[in-house]
Amino acid sequence: MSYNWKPAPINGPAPIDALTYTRLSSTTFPVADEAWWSAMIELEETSIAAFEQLVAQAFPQELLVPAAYDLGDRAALKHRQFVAIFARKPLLSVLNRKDNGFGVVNVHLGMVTPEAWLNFAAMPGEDTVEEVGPDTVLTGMIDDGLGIAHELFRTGPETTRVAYCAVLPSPPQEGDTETTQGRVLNAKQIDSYLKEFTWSDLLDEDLFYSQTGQVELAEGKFSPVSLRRSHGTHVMGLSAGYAQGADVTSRPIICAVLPPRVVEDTSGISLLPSLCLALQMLSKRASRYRVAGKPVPFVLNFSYGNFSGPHDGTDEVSRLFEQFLSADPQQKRWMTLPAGNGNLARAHGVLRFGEDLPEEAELFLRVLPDDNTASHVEFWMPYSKAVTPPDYVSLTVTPPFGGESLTVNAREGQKQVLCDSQGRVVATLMYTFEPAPTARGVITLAIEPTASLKQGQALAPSGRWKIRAKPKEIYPDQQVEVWIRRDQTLPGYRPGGRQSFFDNGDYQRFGPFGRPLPVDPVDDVSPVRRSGTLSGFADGSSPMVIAAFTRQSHEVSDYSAAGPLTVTPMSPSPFRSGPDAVAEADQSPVVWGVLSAGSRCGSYVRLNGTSVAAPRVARLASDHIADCDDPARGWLMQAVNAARFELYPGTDKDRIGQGGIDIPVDWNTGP
Amino acid sequence: MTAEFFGTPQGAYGAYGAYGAYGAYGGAGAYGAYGAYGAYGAYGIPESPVSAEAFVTNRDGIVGAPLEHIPSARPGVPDDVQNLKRLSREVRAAIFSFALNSKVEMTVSVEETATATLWRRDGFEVVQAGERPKFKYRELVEMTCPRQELFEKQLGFLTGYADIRQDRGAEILSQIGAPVPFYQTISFIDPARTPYTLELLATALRFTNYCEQQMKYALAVKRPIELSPQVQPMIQTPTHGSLPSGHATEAFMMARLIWKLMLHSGAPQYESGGHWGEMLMRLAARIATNRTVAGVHYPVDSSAGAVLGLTLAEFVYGQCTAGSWSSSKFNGLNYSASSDLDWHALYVAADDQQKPVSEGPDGVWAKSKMHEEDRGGSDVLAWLWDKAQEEWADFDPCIR
Repeated sequence: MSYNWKPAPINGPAPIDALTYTRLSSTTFPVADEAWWSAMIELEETSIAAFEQLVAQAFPQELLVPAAYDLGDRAALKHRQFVAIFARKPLLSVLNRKDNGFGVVNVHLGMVTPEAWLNFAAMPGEDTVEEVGPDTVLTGMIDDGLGIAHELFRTGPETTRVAYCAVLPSPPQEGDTETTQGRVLNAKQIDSYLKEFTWSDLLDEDLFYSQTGQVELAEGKFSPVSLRRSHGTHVMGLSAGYAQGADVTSRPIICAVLPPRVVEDTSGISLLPSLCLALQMLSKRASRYRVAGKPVPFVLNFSYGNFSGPHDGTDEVSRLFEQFLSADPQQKRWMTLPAGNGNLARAHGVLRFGEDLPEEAELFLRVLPDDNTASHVEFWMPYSKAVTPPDYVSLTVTPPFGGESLTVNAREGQKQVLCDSQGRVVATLMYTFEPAPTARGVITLAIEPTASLKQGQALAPSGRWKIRAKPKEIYPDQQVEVWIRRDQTLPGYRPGGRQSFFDNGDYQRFGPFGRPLPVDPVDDVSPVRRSGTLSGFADGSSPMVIAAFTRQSHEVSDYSAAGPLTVTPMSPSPFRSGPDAVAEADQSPVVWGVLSAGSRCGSYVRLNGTSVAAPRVARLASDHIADCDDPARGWLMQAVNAARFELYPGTDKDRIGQGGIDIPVDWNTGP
Repeated sequence: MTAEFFGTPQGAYGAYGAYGAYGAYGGAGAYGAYGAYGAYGAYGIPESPVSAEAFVTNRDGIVGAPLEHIPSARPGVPDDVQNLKRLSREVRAAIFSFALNSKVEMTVSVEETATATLWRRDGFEVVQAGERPKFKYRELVEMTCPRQELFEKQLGFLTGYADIRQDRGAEILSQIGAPVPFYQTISFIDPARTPYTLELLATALRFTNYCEQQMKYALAVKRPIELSPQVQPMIQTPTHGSLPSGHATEAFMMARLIWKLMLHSGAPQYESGGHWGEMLMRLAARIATNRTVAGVHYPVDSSAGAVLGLTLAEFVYGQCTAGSWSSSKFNGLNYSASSDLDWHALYVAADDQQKPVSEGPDGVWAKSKMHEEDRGGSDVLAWLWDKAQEEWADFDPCIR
């Protein structure tokens, strides 16, 4: 098979989001116009109500705004706001164009959602106040597969601590007139199920999870709570778990279960709409709780990460978190996030140009065979407030079998496609501009799957792709930051994606004794970097970002991702230089992970990663948020000093922030 | 352990597995109950031409002149359970199998789908000794096969369950044979401690296999691998029919029989609360579901197997104790394609009672009824039960 590049015109106004554009126009995975997509839009100076009105005139029957947005939310006019919607392709294609006339400045596409899973008649419910006891702090979780029936989330065999659980991957429940997608469980309902499915003091959990919407094996759908070890259950055990005997009533849990099919897509391209909706649902719910008329503090843990994004605090996810944290000014809200596990993933590159450097930079991208999902590489240009940003660099790409592409410059309208001998597109190189506050151009290399079971599908070649960057209008103190989107199959999930990585010969993977190098060598000339691998979700200003340490060796765990952020619009004072602190995630280099709740009552399993470090801090934070006047990260600084865990001397600050913090998790002791 | 000990069941993985489970003990040298074999082996004269010649020459050397005044021995006692303790276990296995197997019969009718009825033979009519016995049969289990489309719809479960194969792999492979060791994690069964319990379970498993294989043969339900090329089971698909699941039948039968021993043991922790019974049933359900995970059974097979297994446990118990018995019906035509195995719909462990009616979205799919004993029971099985039950009797607290 031979491959040839050719220029491709972009008809009409410039697309806003490259991935939304390519997914909507894909001929490889065509989706019918009638299908409903979940999407997250960003509105500018436009209320939701006004947006709905505009859409109704031009695209009747094409939009569904979830009932989680009440009349107040819909009427509110904000400078910018993210909104989760369900919409059809014709509307989304228009919204994803510049100057679309609907007030939409960004569109992120989720997944096609079965119509039967949407309650089109759902209306916002009443905001009833729930008075709770003193010392109450809400503990929140968003994850996949939450084993809410585990005894760590109960005060007794038939009494749950879960006050609210939104199960998004579930058809609407009959009689629920307030939920557009998924199924909502309150404590009373959960208690009722616990009672109904308990015999001889033993809960039939298979029955519980099938009846409460998380397990639907008859539909052939995967459910993480069917596994012995589920990420969400483990993490929630650390952040909000207490033994029944501790009789903890002051830490009600409000949580949301993300659709596993979204989680399976580790590139994150389809996560945002579900996350946006989950945050909105939890936000509305959290605001209902009162102690003596005052809002109850709320600590939310979200143990997810991603590789891609501008990494400067302006990306949509970070701003979405800020929107959530400030949604109820009366309520104190803190949030914990993992630093990410991509330190050794070879998924980050930095292109710099100057007198002492080569005239052009080269990156070699290893695209693996049997990769059933698309691979994406993002080249983020420097920040620019100019109406027409400088043409910083030009790129060419050479696939394993085929010639070099023509250049794609950092200029609007630039696009090249790689076609196979039958003329089918197998890769796209395209420039788009991410609007303010990011204000960066981004060139995206999108490579189609290298394997498919579908007959006749166009496949990209696996192997070593060469990317050549030449400087154009870039200063020596500026750099182009490159990230490969996360694209690997998570343990326990159906095999799909395989993670591409940079395979440059000058990248030094191992130290003199054969151990992987966790930090970039001094005077390293390779463009492939460990520094700057911090999760693309974790660069915002307010959340506490937690890295991972290994207890026995007193070292930061090798996988734990590092700062710094990209040079930001806020430079020289970026939000952060990396994680805020480091918490335990591994017992030793041999005994990896830490113990927490398994999917079934009475079971405790090991899991590692920064995912399990963050909830430890959330647990501690929930004990202090009520009495602390400082913002979350200010409190954490004090908390680290109060319970310092000494790390190996000389560890880079970009990997540890304020340093190690020792947070014991004793399920038998209440707050 | 030789196959003869457990009889020679005809092809059920379940019963064969039982050998494996016990064999493991023998191999580990921990099979105390069969210590006699070990002791015999210790003399070091296995049967062989050499040993035969040794016995011949030995006799020649010491036999002496014919004796003329040997005291008379009593004749053997016919048809008496006292003889059982002097028989080898292999011989007893055959006697126990006869006692159970001769009590059942099966008929099959085919209308919309096939219906197989397992009949229970009632006690003998009173006849003169040596005359031809007369008896009647009563319905024990009636099983009506679901329509073919139900199996096709239930393939969705196999797709969903296939995703957790890696999580359950070790269990599935360890449970290909009769998973007695899994029951030993809940009930204190051990060859040294409970040899007669093991003998009772082996007897019941053999009989269960005898019945379930006939039921499978009668209903002739095709396996998932014949309905979709994408099931790709992670273990070999057995050649026998799919419904009822043999694993489910044996698992629920074994769980209930062990539970009955515990319930009647006099041990306070077993007699109230139902905790052990609940756990045994959860284990049985897990074993049954693992076969769906593996890709060799539909959930409806497990539900049918649970009906059969629970009923056979009650039957065996009734034969052992001359007590009451239950009959049941499984109507696959009313089983909903969306229904997974839910054993709680069939049985309450704490009361050791099968539910009279089990209803799903498409109607009543199972029924059960208790009956008073009508002349039945078996002396030899009663002997075995009593021996096994003794092994569970709690000791009185010591008073000094």
